[in-house]
Amino acid sequence: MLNALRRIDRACADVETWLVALLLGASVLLNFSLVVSRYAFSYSVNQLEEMSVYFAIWLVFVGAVACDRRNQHIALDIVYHLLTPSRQVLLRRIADLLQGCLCLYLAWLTLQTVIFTFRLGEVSLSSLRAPVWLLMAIMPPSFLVLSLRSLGRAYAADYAERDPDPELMP
Amino acid sequence: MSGGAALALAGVLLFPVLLSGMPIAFSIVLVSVSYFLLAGADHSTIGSTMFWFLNKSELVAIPFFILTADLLGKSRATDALVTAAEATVGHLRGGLALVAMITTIIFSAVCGSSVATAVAVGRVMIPKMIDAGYQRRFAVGMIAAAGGLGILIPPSVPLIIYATIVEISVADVFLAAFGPGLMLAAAMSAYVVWLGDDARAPDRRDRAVMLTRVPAGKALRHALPVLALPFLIMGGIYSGIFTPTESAAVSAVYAAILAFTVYRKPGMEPLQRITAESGNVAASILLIMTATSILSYIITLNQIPLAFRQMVTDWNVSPLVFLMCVNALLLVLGCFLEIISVILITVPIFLPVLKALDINLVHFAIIVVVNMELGVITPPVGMNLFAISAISRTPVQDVFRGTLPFMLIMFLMLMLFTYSENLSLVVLNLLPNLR
Repeated sequence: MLNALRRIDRACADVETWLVALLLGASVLLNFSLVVSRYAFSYSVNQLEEMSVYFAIWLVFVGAVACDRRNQHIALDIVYHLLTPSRQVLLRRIADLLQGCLCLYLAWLTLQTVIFTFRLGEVSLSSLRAPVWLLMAIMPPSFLVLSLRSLGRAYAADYAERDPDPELMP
Repeated sequence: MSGGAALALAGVLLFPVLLSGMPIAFSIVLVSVSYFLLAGADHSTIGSTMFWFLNKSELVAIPFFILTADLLGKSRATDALVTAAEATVGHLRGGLALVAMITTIIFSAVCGSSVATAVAVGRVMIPKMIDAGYQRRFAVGMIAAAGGLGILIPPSVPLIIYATIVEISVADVFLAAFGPGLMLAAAMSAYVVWLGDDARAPDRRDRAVMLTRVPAGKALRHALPVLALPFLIMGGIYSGIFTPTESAAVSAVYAAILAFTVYRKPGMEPLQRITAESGNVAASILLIMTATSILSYIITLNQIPLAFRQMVTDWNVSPLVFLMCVNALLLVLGCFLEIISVILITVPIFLPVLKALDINLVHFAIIVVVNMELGVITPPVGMNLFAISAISRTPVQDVFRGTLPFMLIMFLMLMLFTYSENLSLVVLNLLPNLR
């Protein structure tokens, strides 16, 4: 069961990496094409800027999930390094348990927000008139995945396999 | 429970939660949710608060500038800058230390993050300096401290965040930050020139340092494409061609072209992987920001900024005394909290007082960011200390000791900037037409 979950987790990791790259790349290209269209074709497509903001919002929530898997979230680990290995695992389990419960609660809370916005039929104020519920819809699944991952780690106490931050590797 | 008591209890809860090792973003959200539950307040708006906070076009510049820095840092662009600096100033007093300072200054002008600047320059310069006989502690301390210039010399992620909170022009803050950034860089450079060979180990001082044999003209020509980037970013903004966000996008595209053509490194990671890495870093920063927006909402809900303004005006505090107190507070908070959280939590509280005391918001931006520069090199949460410690395999305490002389210079400059608004805003005052 745990192995099957790990396989799903690894498949999700590839999707996350691609999605983060795609969202950031698309956001950059949208802003770049805004400049090109303005100066090369004397035509300004303001919707592109708005779309790039929405891509960036999705990037934050997809990236949050990817960061969690790769242990890249910014955290204070001063106390952690002062502890013995067994206590380090205990502290990680407590932190993951708290994070898992919080993210589960946030998944539920943001789902309520998405449903409420959907019922309200709220759309963005610009000419794009994008449905706000659709833009917010990334929040519940990302918090749910974060929650499942954190609770899974707390349950399995599986800390050795987490990738360290490659940027900070000697 | 009353709102004030719940807020105090939540505030007390923040430190143990942060110290548990839970990511800062989730720690802040947990404390915020605890407040709502303790105070019995409506917390159904948490999701929409997070969403609407992120729905700002200025914030989109943050991932773009991070991507630009990553692309240049992972290619040979930094090596080209080092070679150019080595060929032009390497023979002067200060030698490689001065080369490292110049490279850091130039890299800061294309990168908005202090850690990225310190890591990019440190990877190339620290081994070079140690090989040339520089004391390890000096080399790592200097790079960690100089990396802080990454957040003062524009483009700068913290300056974008500050400008977004106080609703002033990002372009104005960028323009103003040039002066203090270059003054601080000049003060640090003057120190390494003054030290000269004394920065090297005593037994290595009489040996000549092997500098690059590439002629200065050729080295500068090779570095020209990356040297043009700061002019592209700032020139584009101030000539009115781009908005700051568009300039960030143009610089990312330009950096991608340079990284995969002129400065391509053998075995370099593919573009998709670098973009994903930058996206993750940006997401972790923006997540902290959106989490802190909930805390800011709670602080505003409890009318703390107004109470703070009332207290300061009742005490009849002068602007200078207020700014000195702010410096003391930010220096302490910078030791214990991550810099973006410090800006997002404190600036909305200070804002009404700044307006009441008629303190220039751009001047205050400079003060905040110089404080944060000190924050990135002060333990226990000095990000540059940990980054440089990891890439140089040097204990954190040695990196910290190495930063001490530079920290003193930064502190003295901070006092000058605090005292003199004209000094902080010298570029803004000299070039009013660019505003």
